[in-house]
Amino acid sequence: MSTKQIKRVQDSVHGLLEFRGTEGVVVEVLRTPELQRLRRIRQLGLAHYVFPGAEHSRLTHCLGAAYLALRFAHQIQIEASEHFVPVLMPDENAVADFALAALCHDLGHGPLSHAWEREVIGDSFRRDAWANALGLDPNERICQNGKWHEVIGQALLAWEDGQLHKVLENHETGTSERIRKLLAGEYYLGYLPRLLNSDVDVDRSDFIMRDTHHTGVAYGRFDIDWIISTCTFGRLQKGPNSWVLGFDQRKSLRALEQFLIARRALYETVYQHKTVRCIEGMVALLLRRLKEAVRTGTEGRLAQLDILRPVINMMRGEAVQPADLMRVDDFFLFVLIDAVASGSTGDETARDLANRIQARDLFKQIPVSSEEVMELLTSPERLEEFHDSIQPYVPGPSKYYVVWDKVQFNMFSDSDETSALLINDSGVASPLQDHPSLSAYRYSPPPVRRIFTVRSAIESATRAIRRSRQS
Amino acid sequence: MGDYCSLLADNYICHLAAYHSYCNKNQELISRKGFFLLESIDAIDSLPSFLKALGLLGPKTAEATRYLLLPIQPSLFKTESLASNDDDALDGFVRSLIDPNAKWSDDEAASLLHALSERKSHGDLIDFSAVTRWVNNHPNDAASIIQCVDVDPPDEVDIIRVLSQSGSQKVVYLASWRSMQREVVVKKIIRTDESAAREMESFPLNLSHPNIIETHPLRNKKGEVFFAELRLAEVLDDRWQAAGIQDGSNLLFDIASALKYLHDHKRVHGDVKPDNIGKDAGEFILLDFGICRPTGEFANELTATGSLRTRAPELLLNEGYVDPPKVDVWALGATIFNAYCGRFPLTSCGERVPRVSEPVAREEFESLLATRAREWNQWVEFSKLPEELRSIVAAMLEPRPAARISSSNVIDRATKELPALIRGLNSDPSRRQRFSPLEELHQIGEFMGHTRLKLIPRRKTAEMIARLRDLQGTPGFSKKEQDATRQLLTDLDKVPGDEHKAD
Repeated sequence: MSTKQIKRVQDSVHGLLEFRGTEGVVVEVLRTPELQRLRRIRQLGLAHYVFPGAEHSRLTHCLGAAYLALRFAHQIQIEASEHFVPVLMPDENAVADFALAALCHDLGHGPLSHAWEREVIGDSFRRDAWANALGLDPNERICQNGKWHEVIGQALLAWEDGQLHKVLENHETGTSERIRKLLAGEYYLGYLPRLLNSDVDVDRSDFIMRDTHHTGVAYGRFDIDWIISTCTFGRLQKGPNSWVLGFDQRKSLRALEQFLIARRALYETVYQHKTVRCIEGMVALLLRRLKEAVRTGTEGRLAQLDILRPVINMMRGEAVQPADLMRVDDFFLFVLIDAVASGSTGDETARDLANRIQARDLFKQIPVSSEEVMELLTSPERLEEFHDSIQPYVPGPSKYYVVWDKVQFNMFSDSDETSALLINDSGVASPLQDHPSLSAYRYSPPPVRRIFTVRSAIESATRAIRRSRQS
Repeated sequence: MGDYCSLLADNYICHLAAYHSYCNKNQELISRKGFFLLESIDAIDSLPSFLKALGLLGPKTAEATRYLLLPIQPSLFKTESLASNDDDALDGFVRSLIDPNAKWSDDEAASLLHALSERKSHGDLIDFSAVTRWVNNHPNDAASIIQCVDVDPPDEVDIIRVLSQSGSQKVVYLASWRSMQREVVVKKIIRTDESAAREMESFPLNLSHPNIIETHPLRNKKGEVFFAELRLAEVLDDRWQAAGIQDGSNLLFDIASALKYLHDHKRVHGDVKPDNIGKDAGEFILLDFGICRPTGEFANELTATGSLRTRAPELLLNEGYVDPPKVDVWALGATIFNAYCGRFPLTSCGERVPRVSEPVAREEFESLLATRAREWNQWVEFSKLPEELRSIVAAMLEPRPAARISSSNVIDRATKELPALIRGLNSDPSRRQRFSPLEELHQIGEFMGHTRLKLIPRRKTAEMIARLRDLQGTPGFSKKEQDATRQLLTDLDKVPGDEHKAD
């Protein structure tokens, strides 16, 4: 592997990305199938049904995050020279580790990023079975508590037959293990993981910029150059007296505030956009229906298609091996949707839902308030009445024709490890959310609850909710 | 009314009247500024109520204002010195003077106004917007403002305020350097030794040594010499205490290397003291070359220059500059002594040194110091200094110049005796050193205490082991440090993976 030349990539958000010397390993790793799979997963899942430009892939986001990691790292190196002797400075290898971790941080995402994980895998996936299938130690902390995509990401890094693992080990023995640890929050330079996963980190910095750019919305903007330039070292007042990374309080406050606001704007207007949530919910219903059909055998035809085997196995609740995981992406999912939609046999409800998704014949929101939704959910009788009001308008069981949506947004994380930090003039670090001028943002509004169903059932459903409420 | 208006066209009097009305909270009159019903020029007699307003400070101020203003003829105001756009400047000046937060006393305000009117009567042009700035920067301090008014700065700089005027031979100003838009310290050299000044100008101090401040010689229109130095964020003073042995050792080494450089080039600084030492990025920097001269010129000098508290015994005893560079060595020794003892070698704690402006008291104090210099043993006592520094500082504070070590000897001895403590001596060649070997050892220890050693990459472990082995050989590490280094090496050796052990 050459380490001399500069490797260049053009990027729609950051412009010309340059990787020099050791940093070139980022581009080497980018070529592996594990990373290339992300090319076939859209960063924003189904948001392109509403924002047609939002077609960008998770690969571009990961590359962007790696590039920002390098930019942060160069700033950190400058700051570090104030505080550390040369042997303890973050050297070029640490910088490469940091960029590689940023590159690999989303490695394990399934199709449509979150919808797959929520609907097919579920919260209560069989952790031991997955650990075994993936060749991980079931006792590893990530296998015990991690989210599914985090477990998969770790597994792909650890997968000895995979290209990714080989390239990393070829770069330097022990790299894959080190990147895994770094992504899990452990690194010998203890201050680095915070910039990978906290309220202001390289991941968020890139996706806010990228998603803003590709959706075309105007409000997700903030000054990344300035934020990077204010990144500096400090020490926490409480806890172990070790070095932490944060942002110069005197210079960064308003830039960070803008960052927080940009992220909130994207959540409220893009990620939680009602139509985006509706289409995601419809795909989820389809997947749920298929899962059911596959388990009960009514979709035998699909199960026989070898090309769909890994997907079907996962739907059955089985754990699959890394090689099979590599075949699961958005394209696959759309092949599946197409297969379901065009089949003349098989489950009718699934076919109907698949056809609606393909034709963008979307459900509509029932015009009721969050409180009304909440009341409905807490009364089994009223819920039954509600479903009865929809049933006449749909060809299958009504539960496959209702999308229940709940969205909420918090400006700040609730853990000390994932707070962004402000560093004052005396070098003392304190959580960003504790700054008095940001206190208003600590308020978490109650969740917004919405229900979507087929257009023709809206009136009937609305009446049912209102009627049962009065009685 | 029209006649009066033309008679009173001068904005200044309108301004006074406006001020009058302002102070009486008469909003209507303010809004009609410029159309005052003043009966005649004598109507300026209504000035007392204005003066009373301005005289919120007291009768002396009011009187001085009257003195400043009354001799004024309207025609005078039409001169360039008070063109109409100066009106705002005057307004600002009066406002800042009566600003209750500034706490001007009656006496002080009166003396400022008197001094200004005196300069006006000599026909000096006064830039009131600059005066206002100085009034704000020196509340209730007429003398400093007058120092600012009186200086005729070089074109390149604007005076911001007086920094100190304690030196007998110079006034030090904070100024802004126009082209660089940076704050600089500007010194006016009162000594009019032209040849010395010329020589200073030809001597490129600014680029020569990392521990010597960048200095630029400047001249004003009259040809007077000024020196402009970059302003450092941190400058030591008499109260500055060394934070530990590390601080003192580096102060000693850094300034001694600056002095060695000067002495090698046959120059003597002549005024080493805390106020003339700054700190930048952990390094100590020698400042203020206002009385720095070739060694030969000091030798002919009969009167001693430089501060009393760091003055060498031979000067106190009127023996003259026997060996001029040694005067700098004593002064540095005295500065380090003060950084640990809170007093200079021949003064007691908190003892006040009379200013040049108090010649009698100063002379008495000088003879007192001369007596103390003879009783050196009773005054110079090193128990408060860290052990490692004692003998070297004692050699610098040797009363007889012949027995006192030279700056070059100081460097030799520091290199031999204090290598673990001195940042400039750290052997890692890859970067300019900010940390001494001792600090490096502490950092590595702290790092290893906070890190799970298993997480350290093998390559890095090997690098740390190599570095610790280098450090282990540092001369001047005590047994404690030797043990600590050994312990860290043992800990690293236990880390799984054995590649580094081959190193």
